[in-house]
Amino acid sequence: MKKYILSSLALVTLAFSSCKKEFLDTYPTTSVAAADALASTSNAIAALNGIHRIMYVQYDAQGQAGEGSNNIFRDLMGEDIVYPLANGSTGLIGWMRWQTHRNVNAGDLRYLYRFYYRLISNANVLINNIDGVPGPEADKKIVKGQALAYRGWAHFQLVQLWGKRYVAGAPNTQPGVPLLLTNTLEGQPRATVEEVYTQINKDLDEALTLLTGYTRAGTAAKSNFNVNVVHGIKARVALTQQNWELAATSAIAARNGFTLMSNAQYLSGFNDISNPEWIWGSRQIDDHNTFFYSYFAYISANFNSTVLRTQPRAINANLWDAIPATDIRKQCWDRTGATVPIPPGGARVPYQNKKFLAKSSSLSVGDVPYMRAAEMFLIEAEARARQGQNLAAQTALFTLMRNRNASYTQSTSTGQTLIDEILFNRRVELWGEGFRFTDLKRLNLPMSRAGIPNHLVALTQVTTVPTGDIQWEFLFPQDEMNANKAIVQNPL
Amino acid sequence: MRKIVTVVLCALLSIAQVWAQNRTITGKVTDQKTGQALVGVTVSASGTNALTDESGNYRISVGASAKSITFMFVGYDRIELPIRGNVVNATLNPETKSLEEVVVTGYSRERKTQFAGAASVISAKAVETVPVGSFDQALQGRAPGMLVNSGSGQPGTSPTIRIRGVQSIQGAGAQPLYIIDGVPTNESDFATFNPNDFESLTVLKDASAAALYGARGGTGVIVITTKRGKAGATNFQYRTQVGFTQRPSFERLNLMNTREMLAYEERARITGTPGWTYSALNPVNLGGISDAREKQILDSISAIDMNFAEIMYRQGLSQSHELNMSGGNEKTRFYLSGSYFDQEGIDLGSSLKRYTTRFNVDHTNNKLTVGLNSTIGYSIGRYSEGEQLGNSPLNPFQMTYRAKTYENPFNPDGSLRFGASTSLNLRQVANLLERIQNAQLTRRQIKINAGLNLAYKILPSLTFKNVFGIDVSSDQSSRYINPNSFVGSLQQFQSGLASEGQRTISQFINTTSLVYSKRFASIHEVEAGAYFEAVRGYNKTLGFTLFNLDPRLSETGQGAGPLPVGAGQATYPQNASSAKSQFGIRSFFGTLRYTYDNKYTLTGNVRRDGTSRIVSPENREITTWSAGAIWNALQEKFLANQKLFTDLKVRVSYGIVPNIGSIPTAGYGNGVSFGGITNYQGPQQPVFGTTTYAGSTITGQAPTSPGNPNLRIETIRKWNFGVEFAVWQNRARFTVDYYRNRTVDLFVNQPLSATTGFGTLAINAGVMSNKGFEFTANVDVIKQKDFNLNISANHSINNNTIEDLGLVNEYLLGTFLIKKGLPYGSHFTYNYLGVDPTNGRPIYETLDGKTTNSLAGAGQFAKFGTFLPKHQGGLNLEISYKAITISALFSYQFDVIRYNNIRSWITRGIPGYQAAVRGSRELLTGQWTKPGDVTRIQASTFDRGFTSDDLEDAKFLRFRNLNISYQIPAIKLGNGTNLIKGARFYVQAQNLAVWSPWRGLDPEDDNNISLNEYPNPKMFVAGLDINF
Repeated sequence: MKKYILSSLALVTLAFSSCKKEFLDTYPTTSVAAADALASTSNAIAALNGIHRIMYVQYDAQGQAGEGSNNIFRDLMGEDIVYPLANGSTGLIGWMRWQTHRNVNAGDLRYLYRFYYRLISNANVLINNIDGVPGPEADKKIVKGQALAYRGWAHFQLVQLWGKRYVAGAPNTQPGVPLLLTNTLEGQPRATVEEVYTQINKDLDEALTLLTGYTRAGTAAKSNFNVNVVHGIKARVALTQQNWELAATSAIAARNGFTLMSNAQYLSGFNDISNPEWIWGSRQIDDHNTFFYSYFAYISANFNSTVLRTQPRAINANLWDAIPATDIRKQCWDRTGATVPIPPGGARVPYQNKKFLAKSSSLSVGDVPYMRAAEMFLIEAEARARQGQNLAAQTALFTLMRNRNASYTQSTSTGQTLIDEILFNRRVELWGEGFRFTDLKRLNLPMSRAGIPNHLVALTQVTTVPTGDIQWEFLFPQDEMNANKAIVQNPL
Repeated sequence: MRKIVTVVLCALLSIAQVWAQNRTITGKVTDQKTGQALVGVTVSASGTNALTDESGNYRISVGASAKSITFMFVGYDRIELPIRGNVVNATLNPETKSLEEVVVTGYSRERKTQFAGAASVISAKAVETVPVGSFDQALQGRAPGMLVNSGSGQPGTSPTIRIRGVQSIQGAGAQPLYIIDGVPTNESDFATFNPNDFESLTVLKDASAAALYGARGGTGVIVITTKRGKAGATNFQYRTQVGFTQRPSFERLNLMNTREMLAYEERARITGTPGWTYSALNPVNLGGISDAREKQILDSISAIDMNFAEIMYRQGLSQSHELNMSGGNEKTRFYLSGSYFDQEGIDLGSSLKRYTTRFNVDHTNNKLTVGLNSTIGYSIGRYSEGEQLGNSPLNPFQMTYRAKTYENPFNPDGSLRFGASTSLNLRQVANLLERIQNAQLTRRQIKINAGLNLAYKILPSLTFKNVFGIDVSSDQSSRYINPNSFVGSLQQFQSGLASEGQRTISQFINTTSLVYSKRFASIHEVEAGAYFEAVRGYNKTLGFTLFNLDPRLSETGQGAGPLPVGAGQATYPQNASSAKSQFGIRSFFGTLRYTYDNKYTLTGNVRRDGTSRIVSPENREITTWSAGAIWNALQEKFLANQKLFTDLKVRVSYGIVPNIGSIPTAGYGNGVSFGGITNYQGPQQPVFGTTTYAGSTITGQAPTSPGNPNLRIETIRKWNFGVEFAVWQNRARFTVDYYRNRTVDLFVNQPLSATTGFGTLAINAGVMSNKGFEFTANVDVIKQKDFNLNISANHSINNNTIEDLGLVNEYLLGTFLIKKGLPYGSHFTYNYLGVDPTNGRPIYETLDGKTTNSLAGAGQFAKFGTFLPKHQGGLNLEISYKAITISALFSYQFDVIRYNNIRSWITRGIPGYQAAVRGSRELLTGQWTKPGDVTRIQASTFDRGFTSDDLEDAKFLRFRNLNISYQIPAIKLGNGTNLIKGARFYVQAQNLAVWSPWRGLDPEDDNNISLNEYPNPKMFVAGLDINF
């Protein structure tokens, strides 16, 4: 009997202690391991959706909510957004004072730099692995094409800020930003501006090929890249590279199929992705509340935050005064502030913004615009004007302006006067959408707030920044300098 | 049966007799104290064994050369007597110091003369009868090198235990491994164990014994053995206790009363407070109320002066009852117990109820020994729900000092005045009390810990052994907020909340071994063991949260239907979640011990673990080893004539012990407290986290961590040197240990280039060291028949240093600075230098040694010390006179600095704080109000912030335990039989007093900061143990 007990116990022991390999292979059940993340095209689409999502989630601090916030940062560095109240909130004022992008320890700067590389890192996972994933070829093309577009666009955003401006015809060997084409934990050195632009164009062209034939669908369709969006980015890149012909043709291709919005829609708050003019934007639903972090928490007229209550956004008074009274866009700002839907306890100020509206005073949610057909008309017009094709430029401008201002008559200006008219309308049209700093930099224009009556020098501190100043280049965050020995800092 | 045994025995004896010219020795074995015959004593000589019979008699055949006979019996000291003639009678002493003579490693029992490691043996007396829900609360001050600090007074909460310092940055919180009778268990379940079942606790501190446990032993091992039956008469014992728990005093905070506070509010002109609003000095006349009316209001407010400590705390009752039974014969011995423990906390809602049973049985049949140790427990812990809310006006432990005393939470009829609270019509305390009445947080735990042992002596020198153990806890936790209450109406969907969770954490272990043990030529003693062990853990958790409860159905989620949504809004599903995780460890290990002539012993062990907790196949096989030596000096001939020492041992050990606690893990929750389970590999894997994304039917995913495929385990290289000696006929016994632990491959948070897309990565790059001394002294100052005085003391010193961080210079970890040369836990903050007497502004030190008035310009420094004490110790006095015994335990810690956040709040001195926080009286006399004032607190118009000023010396001396007992002798009936064999009556107090410069409630805590903790209560009980 004892023998049986002993031997059966020994058997139990062996069975229990068996040395099978699985004994040591126990994986967690909720997080998705990298291998599983790309186990199928469906999973790869999920990873792509993840990138769409990180365009507008909340990051380390308030005011950091993805690309919308970045657009605010860049516009604050220009002349056209005004903080009107001397004792109001000074949130994000470091950008207006041209300090944040030159302060290596600034949290906003660190966030901005990481944001684009996080997108690139996510995109690289897809770009470099999708070919081996089982699933329909068509799906793979969509995933890879969009990931390439993300990578190209993110590098473009980075190089505009950290590299010296691109000069057409010059060798452009000035240092740009690290070019990340694979997933690595090693810090990478800066590529030249030329190299970065070459890769951007390569990525965008490949994306165009892959996305040809892809039709976006669903309520958040416009969060995705299709050929229109990629053409639009190409147009922006070409404009920055002063490649006027490509800029014009890409802009035309980008707006293909999109119509301009109605005047009623123009005054509805710039928060709805279903607007016919929007080519690309983030769709944000109520569940994705980004609270006091969001784009609308820092730019809308109506959200109830201390920042907006005590420091409503206003427009450059000179710019507004120059808008014809018949132009619907003039109504995006109120000369006295009286008609602005302010949050409870909010201040009313002259030239007050009401272009952007959050869903309500207690909900900072709203769709974030990244690309509209109007911008494409303006790119086309500017590019044609610079080519000396005045009529084409006047026509493109007219198409847009007739929509915005029924009394507008086609411009007969030429040369610099025409270009100035186009750029004036670009400032008015794209206020708050993140173009002013990069426009000044690409055009090699000084930033000057001189003579703008509603800017308070006590707040802005900086009135002018001449062209060619080292301040046009962003600094690399100190954390990056510490962690990445290959990086060379911009001139301090 | 007995006949068969006798026959077998006789047969064996006769066989033995054939082998050699033997002689037969007989004798009787008795208990020295009682004179009773002892049954089942193992009698051995020259390799032959015999047992004593029912009358205590034995008969053994010994070889011609045999010179002595050894007598061994569980619970008695082993003795060896010379053979003089054919009759050798023996009297055995019940084990008195036996616990100190044996070290239980969990895999074996080692004689102290052969044990090269550093281990502290704590007698079960230290935890028995102490009225704490989790017995480890009673271990403070009991063993050198073991820091025991309690972070919560909630009944049944386990303290944080650190053996020989923090040995890892990543795994700073890793707790020791607990082994009960060979089966591992979790400290979070101690509330469901009955410590009266314990026989001994052994703390394994150095490498030599801990290495037996491989990577799980990195931060030390606490081995617990439970009581076993003894052969002989069956003993029944009934034990009971009644007593109460008591809140600490809040006098230390020196808080203002209502009149003082109103005066302060007026002085500091704090907007919104009654003191300023209704002040005659306030130019703003509120809502057109007349000055006379304002004065009237102020007068009536002044008359309210609540004592919140009395309202929010109670004297909790505690009681316990236990019946145990032990006994057996030479073949079968048993120990049974059943217990009930019930303790109310000092907080209004908290309590612990516990029911346990234990069944330990041992059966010996010739070469086979089988044993079962098992306990089943069920506990119901009701938790202070407010404590879980942390920093909140609904946390009673915060509101005790925070709430303004002019809030009367009661209506004239005694009901609560709850509702929306404003600064002029405070209802915070009423809302808090209403929440306590209507919200519950409960954990119901079923705990099973059982081990089946089987040993078979294949040869006299070769034993096969198998231990199979199960440790399971099943936690059913629930949080319920009554829909028919004010607090219920504040929940999402305005009608209560019901959260329920179920978690099962289980571990199975099987250890198979072959141990060879033999003495050669009477001077060479060898023991070698080969072990194979498998551990498997399975965890599972699930839970749900329901809103919008049906107010007609009380205390249930029944009737909580779909959630209502507004037009155009997204739908809100009721929440549910689940998770599971598991791990496996497969190990081979070997042990070797060689002793020469009882003088020199060498020990060694090596273990190979394969663990699923490490992802990298190259790094998941881990080797642990240790070696040690001990010199039993008094066995040397040249010391034979000295008279000073009666014991002198010198030992050294070295080993390399990996620390599984260092491996970063993540967790899964189920939405309810006590629902978390460990996600063992999460942080090592490159992980995609799910993100909700509205635009597609496929949820979004984004990489959240690059993973760390090259992760290795941290390894601790441990040296230990020890000396043990005794003088004065063993009446004064001392040990000194010096240790040096060096953690290599220490995980360091290395920032990554942002171009990687990730922030930081924990890499194996650093080195940390812990060096220290440990002393114990145990002196029988008076040792007489009726009068004894024993003093035992221990002290330990630990020096922690971060030696290296690889490529990283320094980084912030919470409020600590991690930097080469600093100890772990170094506070990093602004240096507050005081107040500028001319203008009342705060002064801080700048980085370049100057001063500034602005926090923005001030530097942060790491020169203020750490929250881990460098020195700690305990002192125990025991006096017995005849039947009365008094024992007193003191524990102390010093060289420790902690944040006193409570004090920061009550002396902040600015309207932003004092509008909502009752102030300290220090604000009345110690705050700057006019030029020339020399004060510590700045003018109320400036904020000094959270700075070095809030760091305080947290050293303390605590009167931890006092026990006075009276031994009641046997009571005999008229016919001479015992009514009772004896009894003990005692009164006991726990946490009687604390002496400390700390100006908060309690200097003791398990972390760096005190703000909202459930204070450790005082406890008083009277108890009675009766033996039948």
